[in-house]
Amino acid sequence: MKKHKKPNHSRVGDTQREGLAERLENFWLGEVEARPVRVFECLFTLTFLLWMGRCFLTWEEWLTEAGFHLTVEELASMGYPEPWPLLEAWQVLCFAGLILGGSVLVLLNRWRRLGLITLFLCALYAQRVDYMAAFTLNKLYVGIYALLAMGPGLWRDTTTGRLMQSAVVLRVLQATLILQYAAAGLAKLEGDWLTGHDILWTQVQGVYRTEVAAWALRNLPLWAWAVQQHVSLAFEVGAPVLFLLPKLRPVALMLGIGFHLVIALMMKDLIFFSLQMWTFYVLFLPNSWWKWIPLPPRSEVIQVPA
Amino acid sequence: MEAETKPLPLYPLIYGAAALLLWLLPFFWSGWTKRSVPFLPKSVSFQYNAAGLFTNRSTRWWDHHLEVQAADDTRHELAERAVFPMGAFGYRTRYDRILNESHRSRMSGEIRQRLAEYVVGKMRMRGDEDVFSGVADMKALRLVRTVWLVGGEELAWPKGSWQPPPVTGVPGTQRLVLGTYRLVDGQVIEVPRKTEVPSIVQPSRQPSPPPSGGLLRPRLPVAVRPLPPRGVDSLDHVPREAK
Repeated sequence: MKKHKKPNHSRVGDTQREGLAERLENFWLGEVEARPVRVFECLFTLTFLLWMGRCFLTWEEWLTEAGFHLTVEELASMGYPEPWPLLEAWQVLCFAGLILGGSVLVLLNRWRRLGLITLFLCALYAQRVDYMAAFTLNKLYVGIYALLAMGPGLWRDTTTGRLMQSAVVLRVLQATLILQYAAAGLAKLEGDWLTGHDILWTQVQGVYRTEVAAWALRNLPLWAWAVQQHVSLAFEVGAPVLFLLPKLRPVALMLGIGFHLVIALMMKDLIFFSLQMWTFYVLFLPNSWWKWIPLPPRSEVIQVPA
Repeated sequence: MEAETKPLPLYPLIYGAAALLLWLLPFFWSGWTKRSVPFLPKSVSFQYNAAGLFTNRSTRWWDHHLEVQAADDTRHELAERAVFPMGAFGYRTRYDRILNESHRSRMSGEIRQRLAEYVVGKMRMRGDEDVFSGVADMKALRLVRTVWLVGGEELAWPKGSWQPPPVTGVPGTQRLVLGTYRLVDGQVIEVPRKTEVPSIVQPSRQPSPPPSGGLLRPRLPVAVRPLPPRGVDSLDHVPREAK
């Protein structure tokens, strides 16, 4: 959705006030270029398409009465909310069409908010129709599409032609990634991760084990597993510091990319989760990196005013 | 020139506050504590439970199988993917996940019964040779869990990705029958569970640590614990569902 008029809530004042309060205010509510969020939502949508595409390979089992589905009572006894209704075959086609249509709108930045709302509803349905085929990444799709759909709109700066947005959306998305890592790290601290050096080693052996993981199990000494375990833990617990301090951010990005690469290589199908997480990383790229990204979304091409 | 202050942008302010209260804080708290957010209905609090995975040492891993007993009492494994083609992360299917999660349900018996009926119904519909030679030849169906000890040769020194052997080749000490169902006049009838001597989970050989040079030795589950009686499948903590 394009807006060419700058809204009234701009915080560009004639005189800059110094002080923590104003810096904080600008950090959260100031104007920023919308490109990072736009690139993020496009990549995020591509990962959603991939994930949905994978689920649709077995659409009959997933979405229709042809599959085994737990009843309301059975799900309730396992702590799940009430499931949403299953679909007829023709409705499955409509559902696929909605996902595709919403994605196209978002990718092309046409009726963007409508596209985001559509994708939010599709993600919510995909999660609620069958909890046995939904995972953490489904919850993130629901939450992130809700945040994007409800976010303050974009507008084009009339002097620079740049697509702008309130910083609050960018900050909330960044905080989502950081807090997810921090929560996961703290949960591991409260779990067993400090009780030994072999926790990761025990986890890689199981049902997620890929050929790469099997090779690593055969060839890596335990100290190598211990290093991976403690670096992962330090990365997750230290994510707030690593991602927030600009000087440490390159370290955070490199560690994070490696972290998810190892997960993707060693745990079957978790490539979908790694891809989803990597999309968040564009939100932390330094401004200088953006000039090296050659293809901004079409509607964001800077129009030099006459 | 006097400093000019403008009012705070209202919508971004409300959006930020709402995102903090309704997304970031509960998401963080629930991921950290692995608990549902209090004061929220289950359908909402469920949404935040999205982190805090793989927090504990794994001592066992398990897999689920569909085993058919033919009329001549021979046993065969059904191709699980032919009945449950949808994957559920890792080398698992929805069948694995349903059995994994239903262990904490008071309705686990009903769920397994329905699963058995579903499998038999699928076999009747398909009649595939690749699944099983035919439902007419089927005497009983078993839902079986095989248990593998971390540190055992099969897991710590694997030849490849997770591919447990066919259930028919797994020693009885590593098998747990979750339910046995006979086909009688087209009906799927559960065979009452016997109070048998519990199976014992044992690795086929002594656990072997990886080549660590003895510097850091893994904590292996040295005590071989007896399994609960058949049908009581609280073997260990069930890892929360992966990503």
